[in-house]
Amino acid sequence: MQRRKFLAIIANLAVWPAVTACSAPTSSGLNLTVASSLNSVMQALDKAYQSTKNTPAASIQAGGSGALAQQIIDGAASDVFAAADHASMDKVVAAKLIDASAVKVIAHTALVVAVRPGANVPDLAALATAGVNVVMADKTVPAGKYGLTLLKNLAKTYGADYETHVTANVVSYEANVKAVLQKVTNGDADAGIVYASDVVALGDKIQVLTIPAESAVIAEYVAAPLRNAASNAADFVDFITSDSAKTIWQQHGFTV
Amino acid sequence: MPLKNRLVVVLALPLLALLSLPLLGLLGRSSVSDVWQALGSDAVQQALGLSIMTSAITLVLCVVLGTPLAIWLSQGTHPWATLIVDLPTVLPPAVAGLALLSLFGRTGWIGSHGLLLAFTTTAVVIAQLFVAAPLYVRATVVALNGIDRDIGHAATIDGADMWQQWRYITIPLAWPGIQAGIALALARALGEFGATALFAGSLPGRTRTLALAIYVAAETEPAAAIAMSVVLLFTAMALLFFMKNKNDVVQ
Repeated sequence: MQRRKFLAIIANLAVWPAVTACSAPTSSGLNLTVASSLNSVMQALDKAYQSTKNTPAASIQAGGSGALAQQIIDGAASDVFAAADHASMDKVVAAKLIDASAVKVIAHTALVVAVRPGANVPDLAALATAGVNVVMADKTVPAGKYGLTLLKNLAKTYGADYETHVTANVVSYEANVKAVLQKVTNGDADAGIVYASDVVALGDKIQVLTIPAESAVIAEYVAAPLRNAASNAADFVDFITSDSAKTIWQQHGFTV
Repeated sequence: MPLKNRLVVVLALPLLALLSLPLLGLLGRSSVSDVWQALGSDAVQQALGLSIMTSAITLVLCVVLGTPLAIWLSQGTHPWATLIVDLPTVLPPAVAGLALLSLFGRTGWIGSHGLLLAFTTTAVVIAQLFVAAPLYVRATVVALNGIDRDIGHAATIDGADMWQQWRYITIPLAWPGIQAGIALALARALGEFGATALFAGSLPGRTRTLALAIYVAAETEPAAAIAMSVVLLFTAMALLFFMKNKNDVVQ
């Protein structure tokens, strides 16, 4: 009996943070639904927005763009949707929850290759060397689609069989780009294809191979207020595309 | 029906509804043709095949490695060992994944000595074993403890050796409980997701089990994800049904 009681307490402890997270106040600030690669920059942008407009903190829901679009269509409360590709935004527009005219391009970020320190990957050519562990995002998410385009582009420089050799080295196609980075930072994968904005905060925990301009793949982020959003949702989208937001985007590895 | 019983039914319904309605919703959003189409796709067949193959291996390991542990636990009080066996069942799946990485990852205790398991099918089996074996062990301990020890003593007096005691008394009496443990462990292994995602990765044919394929498909192909979920749901239901029948035999 003692043991049961103990386990019950443990189980309660495990559930407690989840319960409190659910009941955190969401009514006062904006509900931002953002691509997982936008999570930290959106927090910074919201902070700046709070201090200029004196508004309460927004609650941010981050995830894969496609899954978020589906959640919004399924009725998740959201004031602003920010996606990593046009396709996810188009889905919500098609569901008549966002006006096509309200969609704005908010930022860009380039694809890069993140490399585990100590891995034998000095340059992009080495990705095709047998035995190198490469991780990519799945082709069903934007980062994965962009990644395949990147390999096609690089094949023009490194030879026709480059793409085949690199994909033969892929050990995992992850469901989102953060999971790709996790596999590289914890040291299990040698290299992963991610966004430049993902690696900015990591410093020397990883090495970054940037892509030459002729092969570069640039992801375009879009955002829009929902049709039935809080009144200041459109204002927030205007703010993040304004000149005063520019520095924040750049600090987080984006170009605008 | 007496008032008291009716009150119990009323109080019992909300949770029953919460547990059943989402699953009914899942069925409602799918159709026989959707499920049939999903079963026909190469990606689903590959994921399902991998799930069945890894779960089967996990199950064999559960029985081979779990039975001695269960026997030991049933033969005395081992509070610490019991706690260790119980822990994986209450840990969030992500914690299990991180824990396995800290042992088998490249920088982990074992991984740093050259045995690299991340991104392999072996990693999938280890992740499944970590979460499923405790269920088998617990069920088997309960089954073994439920046997009246006097029967064993009586058999010894009548000249049965230890092997005969196991073969003709202990195993037959514990068998329904052991089978329940097997079904629970198999269902848990089939559904394993969190530890696999963190520890094994997601490569079609090698580490992308049905549970991971559902997660990936949920992004862009919700219909396929729902159809695969229904396949998993029915497999789990069949296993639990099988388990319930075994329990009824005990009673």
